[in-house]
This record gives sequence, structure tokens and C-alpha cells, in this order.
Amino acid sequence: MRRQAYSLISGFGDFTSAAAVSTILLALALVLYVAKVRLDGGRSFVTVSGRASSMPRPPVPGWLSSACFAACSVLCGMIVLVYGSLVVSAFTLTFPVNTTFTTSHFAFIFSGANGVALRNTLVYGLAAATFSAPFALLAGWLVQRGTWRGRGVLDLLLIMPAAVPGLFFGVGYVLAFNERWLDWLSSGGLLIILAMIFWNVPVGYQAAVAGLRQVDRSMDEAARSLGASSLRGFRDVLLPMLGSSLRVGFITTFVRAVTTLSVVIFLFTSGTTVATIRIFQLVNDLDWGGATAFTVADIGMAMAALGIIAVLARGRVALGGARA
Amino acid sequence: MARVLRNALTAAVASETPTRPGEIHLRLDHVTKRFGETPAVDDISFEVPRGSFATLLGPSGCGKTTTLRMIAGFYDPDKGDIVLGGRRINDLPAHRRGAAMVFQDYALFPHMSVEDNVGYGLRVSGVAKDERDRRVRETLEFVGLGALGDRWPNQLSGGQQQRVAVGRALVLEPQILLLDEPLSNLDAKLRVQLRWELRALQQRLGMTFVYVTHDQDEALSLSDWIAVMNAGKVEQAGTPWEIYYHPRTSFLADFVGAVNLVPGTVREVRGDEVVVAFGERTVTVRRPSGLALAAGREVRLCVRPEALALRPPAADPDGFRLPGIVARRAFLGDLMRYWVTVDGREWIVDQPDPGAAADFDGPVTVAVKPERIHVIAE
Repeated sequence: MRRQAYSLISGFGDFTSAAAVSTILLALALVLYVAKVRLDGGRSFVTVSGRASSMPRPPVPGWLSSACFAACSVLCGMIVLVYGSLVVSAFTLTFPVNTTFTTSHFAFIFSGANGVALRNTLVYGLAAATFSAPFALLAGWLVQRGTWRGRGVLDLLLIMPAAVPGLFFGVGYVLAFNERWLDWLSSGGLLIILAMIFWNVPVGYQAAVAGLRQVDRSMDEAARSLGASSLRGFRDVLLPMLGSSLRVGFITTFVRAVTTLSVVIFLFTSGTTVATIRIFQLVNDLDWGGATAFTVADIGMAMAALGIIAVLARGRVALGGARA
Repeated sequence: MARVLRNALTAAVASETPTRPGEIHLRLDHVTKRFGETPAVDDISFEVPRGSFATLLGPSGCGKTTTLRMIAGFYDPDKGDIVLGGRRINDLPAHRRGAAMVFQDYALFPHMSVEDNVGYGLRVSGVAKDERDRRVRETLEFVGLGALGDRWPNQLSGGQQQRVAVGRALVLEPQILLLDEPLSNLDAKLRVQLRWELRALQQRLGMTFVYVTHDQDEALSLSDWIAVMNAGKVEQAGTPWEIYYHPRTSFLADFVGAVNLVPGTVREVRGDEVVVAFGERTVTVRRPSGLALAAGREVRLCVRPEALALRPPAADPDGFRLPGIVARRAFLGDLMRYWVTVDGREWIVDQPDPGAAADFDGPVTVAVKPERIHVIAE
């Protein structure tokens, strides 16, 4: 349906029909949301209670370990094959015809407008992740711990972006902010950052809600009974326990932001172009060397971010599910 | 150090609110709390004297924890007033009530050391670091954990965690300490030990404690005052003695300890005495105060198993005699419990010190003194 909607816009400029198709997608998402609420409503997922304990991990049978290792090795092999091809292509003249080693593709992508695109990718990705992760955590706290009316609506709104194709997210932002007095938003790249923030909120939000559901409410209440306001209790007590949720939100937002094409394709300008746009353009120009070098640089940024966070978190890092 | 803390706490409590004998510290006035259509707490009222150890006792779902959480400020009552130290606190948020709480699972912050846990409330209050460190040190000494300040909660035993939780609440010198089944996660022996420690602590500090438990032994042994709750209402409130020996309802008699509840009918009321018929027999017992009785009224005779004694069948003990047959028995360590069939109904009889007492089987006589029988209206 996403493809159909994209064709309606790109082929016929038929925004109304595309909107109808995306509405069906949203309706499906709403059905899934109601099912989710019904399935997990009222259940307890508390694993961090106020009573401290140290529980050793149960032993895993040897055969199970070996089977899992074999399955993971096959998967890893397939992934290495894909990414390896990209790296080889980036360092050869015209893969697979001429495999002479070269760094010219990288010299090309780090210069001029390409260099700007790479810098934009990094800056926008970092900005989006920096704002999206804490925002999602705060929103998760407000919804999961709050008792105010209407938090179900906020919950729905925070999850909905996950059901909207990135393309329509971009189109929506273009239409919503298509005012002359708001040109400063798009010219400075702020619109792209905003789209990246809110498109990625669901992952950080779900990670935050999952994290909060594992922490017993007696923790917040203990902080309040010791004189802390709700917000102070959140900052002092819950936040330090939600480090993994924050990391998931940050890393996932960053990785999705630097690898997304669909969200930014209707939002970029010549000064705010990003790596994925340039990759798309280079592929259209059949410049495979440049495109793969860009891809390797883009993936390199994501890997570097993962590595830095992993070091900071002493290895405790996970992705919440990336999608281009 | 411990003396300093003790003096400081006592002085703080005394200086803020001069203690007068019998002064009411906490009052709940027609308080109701509903969750949906279900009333969790239904129009309850009671008063807790200052400096007393008050306990809310009842089975699961009776509303005792909801009541405590309303006092703490975690739930808002739908109706009624909560008054603490003469001030209505319904509209005060939890962190401004001056009521610290010890949770069932202690709610220790796992990312903070013992010292940081205990000092958290002081840090929130803006107490200077030197002063904070001093008070944390004194409190840890006071609760017997002076050497464990740098440990993490998961490095402590259950009893130690419980002491940290109590210390963390006490260091703030609260007006009132609320305890939500703080001993229920501990093994039986430690529970009994910490029970006495808590009672001793409360008596040393002279602080008002409100304690929630479903354990009748805990309630009876710790409390100055008990409110027994059932289905969101207070069934009866009073001293442990009153609750145990003069229950006003069958539920209460049955919930607080083992009991024989024998249905009967009032034959006659004579001044302070009442004649009750049960089965083919009659017995004259003391008329309970505040209970309007008239001939023909259905009642229950309530008698505790330890108030009965077993004698050989031919014995002629003082008081009332009931011939019966031992149906079964159970050795409970400090006593032998017998189930004796009398006129087709089983009576529970406890014989203390089984090692020294005679062992009964077959036909026996159940001896009961009428003054140990309490009458409950049906």
C-alpha cells in the first residue's frame, strides 16, 4: 500500500487518493493498537521491585547454545555478505568489472556538496536523537505513571508515527509547514530534524514504557514520601534506572535518522541534503562507486555511534528495530 | 551517635507538637475511596492517639492498604477528611504531608548505596552535606547498620534492607511513620525478631506509627490500638485485649485467632447476666456492654480454645462441663490442639505445654468457665 500511495503522488500527483490509502494504513494501525491495549492491559511486568536481590542466570543447555550459535552464524554470514559487497564496491574502481583498489570514491564523497550532505546527516541525526530520546522518555513517564484523563490519546498519538510510512511523514510536514513565514524551518534543516524526532518517537517511547513497566511504582512513591515531587522523583530515581531505554531511544533514532530516505525525500533543499538523498541521486546517475562509498560512510557513522554508546554503557546497548 | 539521634528525633517531635496524654494525632472522618463502582474503603472513621502504635488489620482486599495510601497521599479520598496533627491534609501532595512510609518491598533505590538511600530525603530537603552526612551516620548507627553505609541494597539481607527502609524514613523526623506490611517478606524467625525491634524503636521515639498487616499475631503483639477492617469498613477498633477477648462480630472473632463460635438463643436477661441456650444446654454468661439483648435473640457464644481445658471423662471440674469425644488432634509445638465432638459440633481445645500435659484420646470432658465465654450478636 505504501508503494501504491507513493506511485499516486510521484506518478499522478494525486495527493487525495494517496491520503485515502494512507488513511487505510492508519485504520489498520488503530486496530492493532486497540488489540495491543487489550492484550497487555492490566498485566504486571515488574522486574525491578523495591526488594533488592541478586539472581544468577539459569544455565543454558550445551545443545541449545550450539544450535543458537549455528543459526546466528548463518544470519551473520548473510549480513556480512551484503555489507562486505558494499565495502568492496566502495574501495574498487567499478565493482565487479574492475576491482582495482581505489580511495577516489571516498575523496569524492568527502568533498564539496557531498561533504555537506555527510555533515548534515551527522548533525541532523545527532540533533534528532538528542531530542527524541529524552522526549520519548518523558512522554513515556507521563503516560505510564500519570493518572490524568486523556493519556490514552497521547499514548495513541505517540505510537501512531510507527504506522505512518516515512514518505507520508515527509509529505505531511511539507504540507503542514508550507508557509512563507516558516521558510526558516526548512532552509536551516530544522524541519528535517523535527520530522526525524517525531517519526522516531515511537521506538524511544515504547522502550521507555517497557522500562517503566518493569519498575515497581513503590519506587516513585518512596521518593514522594521522602519529600520529592513527582518530577524530582522521576529525575532522581526512575531516570537512572531507565538508562537502557534512553540508550535504545537515542541509538535507534540516530541510526534510523542517518539511514532514512523516505522521510527526507520531500523535505530536503540544496543546502540541507543528506547522505541517503545523495546515495539515491548517485544510484540514479549509475555512479555505484560513489553510492556505495556514501553508504559505507553512512553505515560507518551508525556503527561509530553504536560503538561509542556501547563503550559508555559498558556493552549494554540494543537497537529498538531500525527501518528505512 | 544513636543517643544523639534519639534525642534529636524525640526533641523534634516534642517541639513541633507538644504531646498531651490522649491527644488525637491522626483522624479519619467518614473517608470513602472507590475504584470504579467498587468501594475499596467505605465511610470509615477512626482516631489514632499521638505516640501510639496503631495497626490496621484485615484480610487481603479489606481496604487497609488503600487507607494507608490515602493517609500517605498516594490516593485521594472520594469523600471524607484526613486530619494529621490538627491539619486537614486531603489536598496536600504526598511529599508535603510529613508522613514517611515504609513499603512492603522496602522500595530501596537499587542505584543508590545504603548511605545515599538514607540520605535521599535530606538531599531533597536541601540539608547541607555535612549535616546530611552526620544525620545519615547517626541513623545508620541507630538502626544497627553503621558499618554498612557503602553497601548496595542487593548486598544486604532482607532484615538489613528493612532496617535501611525504616532508617530512610526516620531520618526525616516525620510526624508519623506509615508501615505497609514491612515484615511480610521475611522468614518467620526474623519477622518475630524485627517485630520487637520495631516496637522498641517506636516506644523509644514516642512517634506515632500506623502499621498495616494481615497477620493477627503481629497486630496483637505490636499494637497499642487496632482497627480490624473487612470489606472496606472498620469492623471494630480498640486495644488488642478488647479485639481478642471481646470481638463484636463473628468475622472479627474468627479472623483474630482460633475460636469456637457456637450458635445459641437468649433465654433470659438478668441484669449483667444473660442466659443462653445452645443445643440441649444452657449457660449463664456476662452480658456484653453496649449490646442490646432480649429473650429469643439469636447469638453466638464465642470462646477461645485456650480458655477451654480437657479433663478425663469422669472428672468434675469447676465451671461448665461438656462431655465429648476427641475427633483429631495436632501437635503445634507449644501446644496440642484437639478437635472434640460435643453434641455433634466440633470444639477446638488448646492444651498448653504438651510435653508436660496428659495426652487425651476418646471420651473426654471439656471444661469451660462461663466468665471466659463472650456473647456476640448474630
